[in-house]
Amino acid sequence: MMWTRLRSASRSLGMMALASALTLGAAGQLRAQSPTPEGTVITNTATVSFTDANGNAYGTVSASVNVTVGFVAGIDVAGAASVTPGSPSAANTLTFTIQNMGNGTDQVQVAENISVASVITVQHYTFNAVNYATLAALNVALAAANVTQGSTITVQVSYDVAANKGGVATNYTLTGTSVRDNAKTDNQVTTITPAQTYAVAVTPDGGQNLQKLPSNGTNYTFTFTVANNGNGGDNFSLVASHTGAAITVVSVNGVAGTSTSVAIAASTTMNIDVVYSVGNVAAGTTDNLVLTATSVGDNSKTDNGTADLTVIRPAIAVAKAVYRNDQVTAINNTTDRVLPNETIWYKVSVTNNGASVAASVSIADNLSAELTFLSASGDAAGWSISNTGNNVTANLTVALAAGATRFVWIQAQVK
Amino acid sequence: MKRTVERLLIASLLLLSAAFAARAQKAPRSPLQISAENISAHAPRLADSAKVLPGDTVRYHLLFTNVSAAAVHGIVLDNPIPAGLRYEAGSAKADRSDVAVLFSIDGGKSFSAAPMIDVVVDGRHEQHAAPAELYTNVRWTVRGDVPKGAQIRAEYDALVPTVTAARSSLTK
Repeated sequence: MMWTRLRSASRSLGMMALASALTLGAAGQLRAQSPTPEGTVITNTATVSFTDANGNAYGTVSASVNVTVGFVAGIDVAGAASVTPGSPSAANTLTFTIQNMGNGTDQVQVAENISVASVITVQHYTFNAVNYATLAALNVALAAANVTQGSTITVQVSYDVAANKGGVATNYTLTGTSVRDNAKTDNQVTTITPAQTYAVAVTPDGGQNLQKLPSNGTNYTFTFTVANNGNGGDNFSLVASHTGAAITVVSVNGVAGTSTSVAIAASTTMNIDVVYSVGNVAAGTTDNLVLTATSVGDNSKTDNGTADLTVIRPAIAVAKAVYRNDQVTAINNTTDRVLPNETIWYKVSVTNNGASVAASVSIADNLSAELTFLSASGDAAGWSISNTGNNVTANLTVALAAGATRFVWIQAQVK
Repeated sequence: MKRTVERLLIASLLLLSAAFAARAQKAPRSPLQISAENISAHAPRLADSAKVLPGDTVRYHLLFTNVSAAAVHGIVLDNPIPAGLRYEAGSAKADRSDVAVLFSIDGGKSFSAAPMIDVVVDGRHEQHAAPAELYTNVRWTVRGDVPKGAQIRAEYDALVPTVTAARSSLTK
């Protein structure tokens, strides 16, 4: 049997191809409708007409055949693509619509997935104005709810957002499944990103009255506390600076230089060590070490911490007095006189008038040539005394505290 | 006597049977038959062979038989495409080469081998070939004679749409 594509046959019979001119109206595009409903009987009736050899026309004859449309499931779950509730917040709602896209009445079951744990907690589900505590309970209700072709049901999910979850996105996925054909599913993913708040605090804010010696190679460390007071993890840029002329910043949080950055979890603190040195400046010079933290998420959120510092140095004063041999009677160097061969005592005192401890205090006393060195001793333990002729050296091997005085006795004989 | 009656009865029954048989042979056979076949891949799995699903393709078979005593000609087979189905482009065919196929997009008021539509593009009217889903009727026209007892087979495919299009939006 030779089958001929009638399209090509009709082309060969071009004289019969009378074009029909129809116009698609402005709104005349193909209008979408629901699929043919289940159970629809489609009747196809064909007719034939013909004439006999003598040109007699015969009545049109028709024949019909029926087909019946079966069921095809279809489901469409829709909802918001994203939401930004507060953190913390309660009684937030996600609204999902579930449409029966199939061609017959169906029921649906739903399932959920939450991609990141501990961000949200589902409190209940609402369907037809009734709250259901669990998904299982909701599905029992849904199983009894017939959804006609093209109809839509609404399921609401009520949820709370935990604290300190600002910016932590989690995907809530609601999947709907046809009961009549559980291979037919659809889902809607809603990204829940709790709104993030930003705040930072740096402490302390001065009042330490740090007293530091010029470094002379020794660096100092001050520890600030940076608090992320926002509701989400944040990065912070840290910059150490100073207001005066004594301080030089060496490193911030272990990073050489004056700046670095750190990540701090929500509502937590981090100790930041700032290493600095103090220049060789005069005692009493003041300066402030400042650490500034700025939120990367919102650079309008910034705060300073301060440590106030005063440069200190020891100040040693030396005093020398002379006494008779009893070490009690002072000899007035203006009015009194000494005699040849008389034994006298010098009391050489060192006093630390500075604000810091003095170390390696040493006394050198070169007696005049009219005297003969006899002996020397300290006021207490801690002195190392020696002499070379009349040149006496007394080294204090212990620290001389601020405000303290130590002395040595040097005995000599007038020639 | 009884045997004679029985013989008469049997003879009568035989005569009646012959008469019915003769009558049955003379009953005019319809020159047109139509059948439907679901040609979708999953069709064999459907319990009911006459059942179709949205997305399926139905192949309609038309069979014309010249049941008259002499040749006929001027045969025209008309088949309005059932509402809710979409003609599958290029699917219409017949088993004779002298058959032309025409289509209508206006419910059978006019036919053409390639119906055209007027489309407004950027404010200008243009003639475009009508999409197959706008077809409303298929017509086979046989040019030659069909001898007594000869047959013509024609067929076309139609889609059961998952989303149907309303033809009512067309304007002439």
